[in-house]
Amino acid sequence: MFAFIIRRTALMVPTMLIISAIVFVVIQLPPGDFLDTLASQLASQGEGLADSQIALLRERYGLDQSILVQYLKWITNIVTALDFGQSFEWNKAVLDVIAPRFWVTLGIALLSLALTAVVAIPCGIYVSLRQYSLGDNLATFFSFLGLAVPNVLMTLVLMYASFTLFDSNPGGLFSAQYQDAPWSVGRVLDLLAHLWIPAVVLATAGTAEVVRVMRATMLDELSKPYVDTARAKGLTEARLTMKYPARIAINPIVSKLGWMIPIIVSSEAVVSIVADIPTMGPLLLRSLLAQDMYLAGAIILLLAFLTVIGTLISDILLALLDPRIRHAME
Amino acid sequence: MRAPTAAPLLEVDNLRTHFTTPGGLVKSVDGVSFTVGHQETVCIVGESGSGKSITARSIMGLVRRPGRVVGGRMNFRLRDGSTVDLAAIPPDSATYRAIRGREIGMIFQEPMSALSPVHTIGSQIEEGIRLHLGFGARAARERAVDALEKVGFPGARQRLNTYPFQLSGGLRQRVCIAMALACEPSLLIADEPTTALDVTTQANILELLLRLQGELGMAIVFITHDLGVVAEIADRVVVMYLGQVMEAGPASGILGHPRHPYTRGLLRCVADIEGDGLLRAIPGIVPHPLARPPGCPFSTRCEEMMPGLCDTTAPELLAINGESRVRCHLWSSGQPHVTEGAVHG
Ligand SMILES: Nc1ncnc2c1ncn2[C@@H]1O[C@H](COP(=O)(O)OP(=O)(O)OP(=O)(O)O)[C@@H](O)[C@H]1O
Ligand code: SF4
Ligand SMILES: [Mg+2]
Repeated sequence: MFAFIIRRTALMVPTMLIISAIVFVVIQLPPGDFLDTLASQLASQGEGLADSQIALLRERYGLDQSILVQYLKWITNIVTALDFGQSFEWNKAVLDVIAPRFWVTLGIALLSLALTAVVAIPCGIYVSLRQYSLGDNLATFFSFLGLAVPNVLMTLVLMYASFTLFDSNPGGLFSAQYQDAPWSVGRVLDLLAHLWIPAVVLATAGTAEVVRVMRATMLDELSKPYVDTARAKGLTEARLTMKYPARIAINPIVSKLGWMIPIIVSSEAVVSIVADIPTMGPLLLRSLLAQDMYLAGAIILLLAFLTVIGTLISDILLALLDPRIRHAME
Repeated sequence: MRAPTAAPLLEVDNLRTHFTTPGGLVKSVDGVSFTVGHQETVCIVGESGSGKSITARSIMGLVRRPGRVVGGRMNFRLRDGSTVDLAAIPPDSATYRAIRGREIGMIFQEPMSALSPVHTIGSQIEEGIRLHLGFGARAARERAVDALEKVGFPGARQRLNTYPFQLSGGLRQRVCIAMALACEPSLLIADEPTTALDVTTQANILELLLRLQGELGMAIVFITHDLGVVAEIADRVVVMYLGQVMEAGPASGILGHPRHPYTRGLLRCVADIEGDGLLRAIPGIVPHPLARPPGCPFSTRCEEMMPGLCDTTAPELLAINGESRVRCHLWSSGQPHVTEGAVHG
């Protein structure tokens, strides 16, 4: 098991290197670079930028060198100094721009993942036991609803509801009184009060999917002979369901976990924009539009990293859950 | 040993188990009667689809939806001496659960799929012991080791933490047997327990079951296709076809002097295998469960079918000299008509 984790972790290195190279090439792809964008912006405001100045800046940022050299410089700085380069637009180190937003994004993602698990797994088990019942049909209905309603709309509805029902303004990350306050229980609660809407909205799609998978796997497992064996022992339905089919039906969900984090992260932009929450999604959008390449590159790289880490965690959990996989590895 | 005159351990009378399917009502078991005496071995034989497994599941309260026991009685003698009608208690009731695994154990055909792939064999054996005998974790573990040793599982103590996929088919079936017998039930139902195993392993498992039967003093209902096995182990035989008993009685009578044309057909198949090595099945095919022939269920394939009688009137299961019973018009003339289920005593 330990050897497996080491091996899988080591495998992440070449994977991330290849991904980083692709990311770098892709963010270079659009014609022109940040300085062109800047020059045209300034020009439209009537403040021309001398060609010599542009050349100077280009040299400073290394934009005149070959793409290979640029890439090597970039990746070396990341690996050795966690230096993701400079954001042209923000005129700050990329890391400083990303870091606070990264934690908010991760927080929302984990929150929505937890919500998904807590709601969808019991729900999936329940509907599999009450196939075609009212509850089953309701769950299917809400699943479709969750999938069909656009996230923007759901965000707006929830914000409106929160505003009218609880009389709280859910926009932004903190309420005014906690904006610059030091960390406290109240501040954490206030943060949660602001994060629940994006977390719920982002959880809906995942929940619908997990209920569907859980229901199908449960129905499959419930028909297996080992369930009869368990019944033949005289166990109660509740006990044997939880010990056997439910326990086994969790496996495919766990193996999906790794994929769900990056999906949540990459679909949070629109929700965050509407709810005015400073996350990575809107930042990525803006950096791409502005050709702020190091910033965009860092964000995409982080997303890729999350995917790879998520998959690793999934695989480890799966090996822990399923002895067949564990033994196949040894 | 109990006196042979004691009331039987299990008395199945006119059992009916039906499945409500979109295509119609499937009468998988439709009027099955037989008795199992204490410490007796009763073999149920019949072609595929004759309702053997559903009969076994009905006794065990394991019929899955859309199936349901819709009629009949299954009087079972508990170890405290009282009798319950299993057909009258809901399968998921506490009463039935207290019987399953404690008073009646069951083993299945496929030992791999009958065990959970992700739980250790120890965990799977121990839970029944803890449940029925109220043992704590450690005592249950000891009892599981005992049970495994009884079924000849080598290195039982060291291997409690192995998983089914790490074991051979024969060992898995031994685990299933240990699990079914851990609480020493008075009745073991074995649904083709050796069919999925190779020939040598089959013989070993059979020998094991017979030995355990002697040690634990239990009765066995053994479902099989293999009439060779029947000859070896059966005290009593029940021959089933299309959800009904065609013939039932002591093994020597059924195998030595079969009365029903269907039983004769089955035995002829065996004789052929032993003779020229060719498997000659009974001609014709088993009718679709939704297209039961009118009259005698076997009439579409019977060589002695009497037109006008067999294909219009269903024969009754009638007693023929004491313990044997036959459902066939050839045997109905002049024989006393006995109500079903009141024969063995
Ligand atoms: N879930 C179900 N739905 C509908 N019909 C069923 C169902 N389960 C069993 N049956 C029917 O019940 C009949 C008896 O099945 P059963 O499994 O008892 O046969 P069997 O004698 O054990 O055969 P085999 O030797 O193949 O094990 C079959 O005709 C089958 O089609
Ligand atoms: S009743 Fe008729 S058809 Fe049925 S087994 Fe007897 S002889 Fe054959
Ligand atoms: Mg069967």
